[in-house]
Amino acid sequence: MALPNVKLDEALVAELRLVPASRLGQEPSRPRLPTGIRAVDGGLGGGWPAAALSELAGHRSAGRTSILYASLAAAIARGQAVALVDALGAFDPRSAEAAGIPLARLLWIRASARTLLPAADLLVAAGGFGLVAIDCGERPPRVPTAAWVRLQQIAEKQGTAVVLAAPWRMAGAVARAAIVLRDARPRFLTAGRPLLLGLEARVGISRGMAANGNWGAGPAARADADADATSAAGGPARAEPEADVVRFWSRPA
Amino acid sequence: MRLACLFIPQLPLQAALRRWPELRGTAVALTVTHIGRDGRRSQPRIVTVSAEARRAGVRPGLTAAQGMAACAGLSLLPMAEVDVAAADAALGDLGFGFAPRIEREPGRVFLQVDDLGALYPSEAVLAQTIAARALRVGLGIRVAIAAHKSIARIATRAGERVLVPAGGESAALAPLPVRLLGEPLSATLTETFARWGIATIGAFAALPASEVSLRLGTEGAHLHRLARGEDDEPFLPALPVDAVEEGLGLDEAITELEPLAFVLRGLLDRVLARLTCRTLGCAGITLRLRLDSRAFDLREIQLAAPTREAAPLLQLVRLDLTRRPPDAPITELLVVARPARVRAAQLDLLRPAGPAPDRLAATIARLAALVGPENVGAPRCENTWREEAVGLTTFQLSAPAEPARGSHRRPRTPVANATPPTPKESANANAMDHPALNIRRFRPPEEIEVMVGPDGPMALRGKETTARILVAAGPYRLSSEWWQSDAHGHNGFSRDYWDVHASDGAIYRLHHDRHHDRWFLDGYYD
Repeated sequence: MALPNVKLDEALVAELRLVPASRLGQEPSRPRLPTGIRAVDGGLGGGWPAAALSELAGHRSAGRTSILYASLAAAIARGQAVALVDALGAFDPRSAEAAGIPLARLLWIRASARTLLPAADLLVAAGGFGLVAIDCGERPPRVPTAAWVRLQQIAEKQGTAVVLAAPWRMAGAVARAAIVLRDARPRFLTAGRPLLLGLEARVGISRGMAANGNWGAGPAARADADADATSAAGGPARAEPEADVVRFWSRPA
Repeated sequence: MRLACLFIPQLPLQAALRRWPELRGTAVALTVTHIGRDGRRSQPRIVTVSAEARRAGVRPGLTAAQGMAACAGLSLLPMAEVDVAAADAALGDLGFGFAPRIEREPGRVFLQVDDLGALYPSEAVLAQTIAARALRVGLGIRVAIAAHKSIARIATRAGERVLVPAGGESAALAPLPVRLLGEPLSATLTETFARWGIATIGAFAALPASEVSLRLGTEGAHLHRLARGEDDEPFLPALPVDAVEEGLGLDEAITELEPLAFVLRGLLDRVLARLTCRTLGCAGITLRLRLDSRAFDLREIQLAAPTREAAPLLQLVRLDLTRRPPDAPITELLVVARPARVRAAQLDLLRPAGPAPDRLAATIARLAALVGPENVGAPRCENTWREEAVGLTTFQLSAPAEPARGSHRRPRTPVANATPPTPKESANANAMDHPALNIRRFRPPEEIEVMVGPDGPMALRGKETTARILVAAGPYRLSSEWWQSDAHGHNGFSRDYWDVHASDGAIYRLHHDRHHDRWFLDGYYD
């Protein structure tokens, strides 16, 4: 026997603020914090989502530190208060200045694996910071999902954008946006003695706002999922996911 | 002119009850112990008693044992000069909360209250407010307001809140007992007044001035003028002292952190309450510990911005004591707080609102307690050619936000007759196509083994990194500090830097120390 199809009264829906299932994927529009890097901002729909937890993942020399510093510099230029929680004390002031960060305006906390998340909690809970960057270092601590959920909730309450940089993704579905850097290649000038020119990497949006306004897995993750399904069914080899390329220069252009 | 006189009755007792507020309303007696010429300590004798103890029959002059016999529930407290000084100073802070300058006497404070008429509906309300605020710093005081200093002083001996109207001094003083003219009156004058049958100030004021001067001398003449409401004592106010102190002597030396933290919390609360009276915060403290070995241990605790919260201060002190424990048990503590204005946050319509300065200071203090004060602040480039050097300085929320030197951001050059940019184009106007490549440092640089070929390093091996070198850019020689010698007699340092692409995909920066022939991994580009 088929279940009766009951149409809810529109007034009742409005009064109870019910959200139909077809619109569950949509998020209210949220301000964006541009990083100042065209390839990254384009994929994120304008920048990091404000008042939310985002992720930036990439292995050694993939470019995650440069994107993080560019994000901090852009936030300071907008007049926002920013902080960097640094797990290994890897911050380099000279290259950060070259990235456009006025050092006196950056609150730098050198934490350990044990104090990384408590320090980030303190900063975000204090309120008033536009961007709090968490650099998890080479070996990020193991953090339960509940801790990320808590951090996301505090960030949302205080209106602070939190960007988590690590070699791999850590927050899972809790992050509102996630960038994964892959296929990084250095660029050397090889005429004569080699000279390091820069680095090129592919920016994959693993989670973010799609063109139709729906949240969910980004083009890179969806392409991965499709490719996996295709190859599991005996189809052709997985296609390269959509990604923009970002190039970093080691000397001023 | 209207002057308020704030008076602490039984100052030593009130000072002790500031330390032990739970004993208020109970039978309490203060004792002192004298040391004789032969070095022997006398029995403790009671010098001051609370009203409850007096009702139970305890009197000053009794020994401690006699007092306990008279009142079984009597609490005996040693009289400490440091407590009295702190209570006196707290009274001063209370006065500064109502006037920019005050005049101080032991146990009393005078301040001018003419201007406060705009803030308080009446002098009675003002007196009540002052007394209420005094309770917050642990003091029960009497308040009198009069046109003359000496009149106000006498009035504080008469009752809790006394208002002497201008021009009505003699009428206000007339019914009061004549003994209130002194603190206390001399024995001679007391006996004389008793012989003459003078019981009230009014009766004394009615006597002819010339006869009083003839029979009682200068002192009597002065008191006679006061009794008639005539006072020419000047009001000499002064500015506040820079620091606020609270101290404590311990009955038994403390050797552990937890009991010390408990005691410190009380001191910090009292210090901050006094600063709050003056609408100030604490910019830092100096903690002086007197040790069992008679030595002193001085510690400085500095805050990024003034605060009124005790918790961050206590956390920083605990951290300092944990990192550097005292050499001997502690017998006395003194906290000296540096007052500073708590900065108000001036909002800017054109900039996003940041954290409030006092809240930021408290957050930075908590962070310092969590990770260590040497790990919180704004980074700073050190004045050295050593690439790995980095310093920390005070974080300034209000520092200029212009991009630093060498920034990759370049302004767009306006083109004549160009169509105005769309909003999306304006948003992307400063977007970069080629951002700077930054480096992540290993601190300290990791010593590695390097296989060197004719074109430079070919492979590297460290604790966690082992790779072939695919491309090596360098060497870039850097030498400096030639004016300094190390233990091996080398002047300064001389390094050859390399940027290498390794087989693990990373781009490392490493250097060869030419003086010591050692290789180090400085970090990697990321």
